[in-house]
Amino acid sequence: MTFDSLTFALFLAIVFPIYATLQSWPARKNVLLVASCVFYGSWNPFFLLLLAFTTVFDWWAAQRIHAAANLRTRRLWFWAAITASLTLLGYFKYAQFFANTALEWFALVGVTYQPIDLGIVLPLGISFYTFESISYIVDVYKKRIEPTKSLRDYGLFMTFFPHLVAGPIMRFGDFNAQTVTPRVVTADATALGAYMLVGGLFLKIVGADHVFAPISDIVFAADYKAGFVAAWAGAFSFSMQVYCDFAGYSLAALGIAKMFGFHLPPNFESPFASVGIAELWTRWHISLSNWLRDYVFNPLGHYRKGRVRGYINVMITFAACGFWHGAAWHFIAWGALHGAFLVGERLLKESIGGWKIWAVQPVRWLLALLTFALFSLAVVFFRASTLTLAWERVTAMLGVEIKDAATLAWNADCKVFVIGLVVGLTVQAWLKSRKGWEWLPAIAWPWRVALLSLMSLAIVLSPGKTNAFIYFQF
Amino acid sequence: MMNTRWLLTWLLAAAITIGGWLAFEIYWRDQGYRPTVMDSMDLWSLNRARAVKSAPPLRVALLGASRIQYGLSPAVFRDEARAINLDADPIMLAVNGHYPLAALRDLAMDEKFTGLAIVGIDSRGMDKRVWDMQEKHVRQYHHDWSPSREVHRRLLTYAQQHAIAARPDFAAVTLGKRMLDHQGPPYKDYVTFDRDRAGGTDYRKSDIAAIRNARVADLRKYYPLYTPPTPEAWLSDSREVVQWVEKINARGGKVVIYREPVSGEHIELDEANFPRASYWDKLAAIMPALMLDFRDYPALNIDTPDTSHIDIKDIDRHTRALLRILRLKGVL
Repeated sequence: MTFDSLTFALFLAIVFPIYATLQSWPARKNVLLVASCVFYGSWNPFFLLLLAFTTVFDWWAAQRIHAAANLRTRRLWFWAAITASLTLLGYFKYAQFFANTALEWFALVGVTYQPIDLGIVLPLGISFYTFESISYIVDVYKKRIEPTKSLRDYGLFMTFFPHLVAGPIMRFGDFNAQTVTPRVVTADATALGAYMLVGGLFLKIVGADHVFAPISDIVFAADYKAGFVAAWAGAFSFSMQVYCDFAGYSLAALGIAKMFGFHLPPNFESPFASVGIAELWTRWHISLSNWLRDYVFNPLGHYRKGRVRGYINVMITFAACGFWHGAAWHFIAWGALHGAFLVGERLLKESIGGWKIWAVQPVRWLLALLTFALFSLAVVFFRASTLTLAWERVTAMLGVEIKDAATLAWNADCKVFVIGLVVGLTVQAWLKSRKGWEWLPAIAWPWRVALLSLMSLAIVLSPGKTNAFIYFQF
Repeated sequence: MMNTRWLLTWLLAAAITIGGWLAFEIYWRDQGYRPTVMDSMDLWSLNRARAVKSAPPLRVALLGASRIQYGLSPAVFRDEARAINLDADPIMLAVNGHYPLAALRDLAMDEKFTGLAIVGIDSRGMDKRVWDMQEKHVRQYHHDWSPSREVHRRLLTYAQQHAIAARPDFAAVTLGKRMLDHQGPPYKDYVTFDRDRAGGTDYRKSDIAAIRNARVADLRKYYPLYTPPTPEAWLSDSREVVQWVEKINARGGKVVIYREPVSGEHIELDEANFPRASYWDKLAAIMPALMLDFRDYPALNIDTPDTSHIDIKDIDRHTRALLRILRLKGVL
């Protein structure tokens, strides 16, 4: 079930009172575990078995790693666990892609085969929970953490419903500290958590689905011929849409976890107020960028093995980031483009980064807008359904004249999008220096009432669109 | 204890939200709008799932496009069947604007379906180029339908039955956009839906002449663009449909193929492009199913104000007439 569904409202209305009124911490953990399984199984009960297998196998393998008498056995169990996780991910997410790519490559040398439809359905959240299980195995292997003896606690780490299907990607060390110590449900935390849930739903339902999606849906339709203005409008609108969609989901997840007394790490912190792509990746999908840093970029050698090797490592890491998002070349291109931006930014910083002009505030605003524009240029590869379509939109954005290009009508969809864009970027600039949601309880309560009322009313009066969360497809 | 200001925040916000929603409802009801269920692929899937539940009651799948969806009442069908001691569960699977053969194929391939399929279709709908029109619905049911979606759709249907605010065309941002474009209030639709997906066209609330002219003009444009296949090619393709029907028959199910009432220029254009003797009658000779043409049954020859759909006031009469004919023909 999705957070914006009526099913989830009913689910929360049942689970939260039970959890909050139980006194025994083990009993409350049992409730959370069962509720999380119901939450996940309500999509497809079969995939609950897959998740259960991954959970039990990794929990058991981690104990074998920890108990191994010698390095060889340790390594054996480590690779067994990693291979199991990656095999499942590889089969469900990438098998069709590899089959298609193989056929395309055969066709290049003149050998043609009928396209194969493997008919594989992607289990929801598999990319997210696979990364969590891998981080657990790696951390145990590297002796950063001790494995838990409690299958229930490990199961709760993997399945805790607020973060199960789209993150934030948790580390066991951070989560386990919260399962060992009983969580306290306080009225204030519940009030703030529910406020964040409403804020997340507002971003998703009103921002992503009603304000920004209409423009990006038009511009990224395969049969639409976008000119310069339309292509940029489509890219900006999709940047805002994917932000509202995913940041909205993450904020709702943080809020729900807070209601249950848990703390999840923030996943988005005003990314479009960033100055430079490097800063943007410390504010955009933070749990993923941290994961990639710790489990891909650092093991590859970071910048320790020389500058050029460092650049290659950046490119590998971000290409992997793209491939994690989706089994398609356009996702890999999106990741690689971000890698190239980061390398370029680093080179520029090394040569002209010391100039005093960069500290002047209006210049920083311009740089933030430039960062947003670069992000939007790259996001075309994320949104377009094929590499060819992405290239058409990018060439239009770069000023290449498109024959018979359609003009984007200056209608209400466009006006609302422009208003949303200006408001969205301004709010992010205002929030940039404010960490997390600690600012909310500090503002005057009538403003809190006004903001909450506005968001709640807008949600209640925005029915109908049932767009899936964008990141659910990953 | 909760911080008093948090408590106040939530109480006041809840009061403002409920007050705002009530004011919204009162205003639009005062303008003459009413709540209505909005049809969707999820609602279709909810009904499709029922078609393969075990009998009794007899599962009666009502397949077709708008003429079935706006022309038959499952509730009346159920009541009439009960009057003849038949426990039937009519399930509306027709989809406005989409010919139904993908849904028939899906039921044929589903071993669990052993009921009666009433397929509202004309010769144009048997043209292979339009077979897949309902395939999106079928895919949605097989790939995306889940317990979670079922609960959501049931709750949403309840909300849509009772609140104008649950209608997507009344979403706040949508209304704001209409205002920005000086489009005025939402269109007062003459089509309404029930929670069982059955719809109704109330032509008293519409400009019949304009709708009729537009419909005929569309059909005049359609036929030159999509030239009908030769009768031989059409019949050859239809043999695949015959196989689907045989599959259902073999499981103890039944199929009725029903050409629903149309009139005026519509029937003239249909007849000019798909002459009955060359198409429909040829198929009837090989189809292992009852084939009904409204022209053969005076009780089914009901007025269609826009040439293609009966009025809401005639739905019950149409349903009863069809049921009686099915009984006479030994299908029920």
